[in-house]
Amino acid sequence: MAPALARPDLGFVLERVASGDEEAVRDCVSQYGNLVWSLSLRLLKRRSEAEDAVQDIFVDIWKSAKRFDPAIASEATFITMIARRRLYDRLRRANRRPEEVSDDVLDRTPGLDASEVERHSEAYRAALALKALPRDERQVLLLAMLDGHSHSEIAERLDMPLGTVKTRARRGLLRLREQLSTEAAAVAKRKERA
Amino acid sequence: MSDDLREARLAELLCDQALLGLAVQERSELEALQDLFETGDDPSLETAAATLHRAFVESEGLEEMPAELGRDLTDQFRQEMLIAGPRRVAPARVLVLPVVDDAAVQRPANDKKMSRGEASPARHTAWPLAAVACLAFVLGGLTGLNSPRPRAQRLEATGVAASVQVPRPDLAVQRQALIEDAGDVVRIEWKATDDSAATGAGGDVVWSPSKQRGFMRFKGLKRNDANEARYQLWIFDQKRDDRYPVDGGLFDIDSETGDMIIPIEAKLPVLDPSLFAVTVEHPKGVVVSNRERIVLTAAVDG
Repeated sequence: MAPALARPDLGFVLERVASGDEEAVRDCVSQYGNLVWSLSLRLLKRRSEAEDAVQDIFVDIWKSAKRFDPAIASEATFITMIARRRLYDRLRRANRRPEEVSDDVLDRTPGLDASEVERHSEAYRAALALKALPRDERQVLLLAMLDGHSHSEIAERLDMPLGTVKTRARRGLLRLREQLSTEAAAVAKRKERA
Repeated sequence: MSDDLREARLAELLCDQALLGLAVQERSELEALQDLFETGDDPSLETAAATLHRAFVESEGLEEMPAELGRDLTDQFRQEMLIAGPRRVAPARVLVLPVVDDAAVQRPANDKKMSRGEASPARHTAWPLAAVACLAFVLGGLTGLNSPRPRAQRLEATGVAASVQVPRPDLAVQRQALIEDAGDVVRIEWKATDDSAATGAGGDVVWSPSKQRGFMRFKGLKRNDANEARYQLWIFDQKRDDRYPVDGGLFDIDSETGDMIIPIEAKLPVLDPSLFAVTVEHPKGVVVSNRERIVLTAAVDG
């Protein structure tokens, strides 16, 4: 996936949206529409539901744009955070049971065959961080995050006690955060040396 | 519950929030625990989860969003930008002061520019007049001279004797300061339409493009029931598409006399205003007005 075309001369699109720039609205949809659409479709499965969700998410993005802080997360990650909140809310309200996923899906790691340019990306660092996790922790995280399974559904799916699932989810998430910050620090160091 | 257990629960909720989001009740619980431990809002776990989630979705290849949805979003965005949600613009707070409304004092009919928040000759005469009116009212009551009168007349008398609502002085002061400080203030008198809410209504609107601030001053605009309908300001900007005037905010007239000062809360920058219009809308406001009930207009070159 080619990175979205950004206009560095115009600064962060969310900052422009927050300032009420109408052109930024179009840029925002153009840059992040496919990401939000794909996140929605992936979790909700049904196109009509995904369409509704995308509209809600973008309204929320507009309202939250002024809270964007590039020191905390990239624009794409900030938008993903907003989208995930709305999507999980929808799943919770609908009380829908996620579809079953196959075991090989649980061993996925994204984007490790990345090009040199992409290796500097946040996504690549996330892939490395995920790969570094123990398999059982990785599986719990993937079932929850990507497919919207609750802890008890994961416990059932992986035939594990609920407490174990919660512990692994938490450990995995803490380790992921640590790995990501280590990777980010390494990238910053490399940049400094360059 | 011990502090250790509470701390464990806090960690659990933070983890759940990052992985699957929280239900409303859980969110309240999380906030209470964050307050208790003074941890503040830590987005690091949620950011990590979002980073990974995004990496996965992108690595699988993003699906093209339907073009029609993209167009709808852009339109919807524009509308949302106009309304920014059904936000209630707090009407100017009124103070109940034992002074007479200067509208109750005989004032020259052409003195339309005087605000009750401003020092006015009428204001200075208000106290003695109120005192005389009070005395007359009390004496009338005591001596039985208050024979039945037409309702309107009775209201007028009690209105003088009783407390009268006047705009919060600081809004009048702020308005005046804006006029004096900003070199580019446009000031236009309202023109009432045939709408029943606007009968006899007037006042003016001031706006400074450089400060992006302004105030509406109303006189005699009909009081509204905020549960049934509310007033909404629209600002037409020559720099923007005139199909989408800028939403200047919802407001209520809750003064008995219909005299109020309301700050303008434009949702978007207004650079070159051409027309201000007040409509009557649904209590939650609207995204696009059907313009069925326009009560007041103020055209910059009109």
